Amino acid sequence: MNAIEVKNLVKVLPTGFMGKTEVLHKVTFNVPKGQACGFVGNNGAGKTTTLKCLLEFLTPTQGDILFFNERLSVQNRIRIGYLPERPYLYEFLSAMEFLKFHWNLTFPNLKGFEEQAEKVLKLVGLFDNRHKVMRKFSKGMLQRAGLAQALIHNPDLLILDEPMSGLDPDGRLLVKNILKELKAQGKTLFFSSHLLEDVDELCENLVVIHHGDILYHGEITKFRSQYRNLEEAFAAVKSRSPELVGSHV
Amino acid sequence: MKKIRTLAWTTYQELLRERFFAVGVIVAFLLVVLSYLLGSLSFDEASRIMFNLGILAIELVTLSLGIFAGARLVSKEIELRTCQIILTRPLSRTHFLLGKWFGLFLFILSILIGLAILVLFLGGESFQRMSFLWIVLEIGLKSWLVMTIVFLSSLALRPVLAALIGISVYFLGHSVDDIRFFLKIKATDTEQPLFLSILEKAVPRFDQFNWKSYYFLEKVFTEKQIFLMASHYSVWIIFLLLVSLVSWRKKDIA
Repeated sequence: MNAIEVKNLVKVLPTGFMGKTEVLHKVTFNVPKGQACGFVGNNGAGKTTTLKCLLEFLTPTQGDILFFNERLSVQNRIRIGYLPERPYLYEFLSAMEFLKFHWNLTFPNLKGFEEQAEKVLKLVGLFDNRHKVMRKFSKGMLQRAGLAQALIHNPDLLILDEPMSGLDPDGRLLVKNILKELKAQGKTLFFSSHLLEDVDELCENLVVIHHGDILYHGEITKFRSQYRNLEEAFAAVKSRSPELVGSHV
Repeated sequence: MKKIRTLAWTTYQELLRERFFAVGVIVAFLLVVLSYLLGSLSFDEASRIMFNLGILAIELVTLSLGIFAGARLVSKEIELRTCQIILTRPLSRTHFLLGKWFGLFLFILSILIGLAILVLFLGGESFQRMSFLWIVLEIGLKSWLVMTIVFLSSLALRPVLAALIGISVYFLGHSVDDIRFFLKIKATDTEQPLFLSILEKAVPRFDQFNWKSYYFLEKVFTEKQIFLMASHYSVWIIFLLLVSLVSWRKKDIA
């Protein structure tokens, strides 16, 4: 079963006065359930646009998107946790209040917040700072608070946009460890990055996007087998290496 | 409903903590206190000065906060990606927009009530309390209406343009009768320029309910007048909110 299935996704965005540009060209890929998948591409390749189409912030011009074999609806969003790139997290709230806010939006009438919040805050290493106002958090702590928000409702699938961007080495290590822990718990991870080593370390699968085209999607080991490292392979695929373009899981 | 309440409460808390808005509220309170001091220095005009400056402070602050907060509220959420996190929750875009609108509504309401109580307290026994409260209600409804116009405009335009639209509608809504006066057209005339006919229908008629002068003419507001005013503003607010919801549901959050 696939956690995410994208078929022929096309997005046309307006540019300038009356102009239009196709930014995603028949994007097709799958993310198998229970696995980690990296979404790699240069800045401006179409990673964030694809994620926004997946979550319906942007309306796709064409194409199908399925989550666990269903179209996205208000009800099945409960299975998805999302963290955009460097968001503002209502920093006047404490970590606990922030999680409570998201809990109330997800489960307005369900009890059990305290236990779930404790579990999640311990996982992201913010339990001791749970009553501190987030304005006083470092960038790494904010990113972990964002992750906690994505996890508070115990989703099956986590979609993260550049989760390690802007973090110092310690912060990146912490976030990586959290993602490893989540993977060990059987969650499906789909995250975008332009840092190939992060993807290499965490993921079984890879989707490579370049100028709105999917250059590769499939197992990372297969992708890497012919190259000394991921960077070399990435460079080769970018120049449309015929043996890899169009591979499927 | 609980989801809208959660969003509205967080929006309200967020607005209360904005420094810019806190300054606006402090200025309003100072203006009211100043009006009290100026009033106490004058002969026989204390009540008039207190009333005029008090009403001015209430209208100025509720309107300007409504305009500036309304213009920034959703665009800030989009710009800072906060709405992306919220919209991945099991709630619709309608919930989100209503939550934000009610948060702003509450914010304006609390400032309106706070200032009205202060003016009433300082005004003492000399105030015609009921008339004053009806005028405050009119100002509140007008502020919510202008805020909703800005709120709707901000879904399609930049915050500055949305604020300018709100300010323009406020002045146009107050000027329909004045324009007619300058064109030497009577309200009963059947023939009038097309632009005036369009203007009459395209903007809320604030000029019809500008009751501030009534206070010193000692006119009593009739139930019919109050009902007409409340219905006129409420229908406009509901209509604009519905248009906002339709356009927000289709909006690309880039």
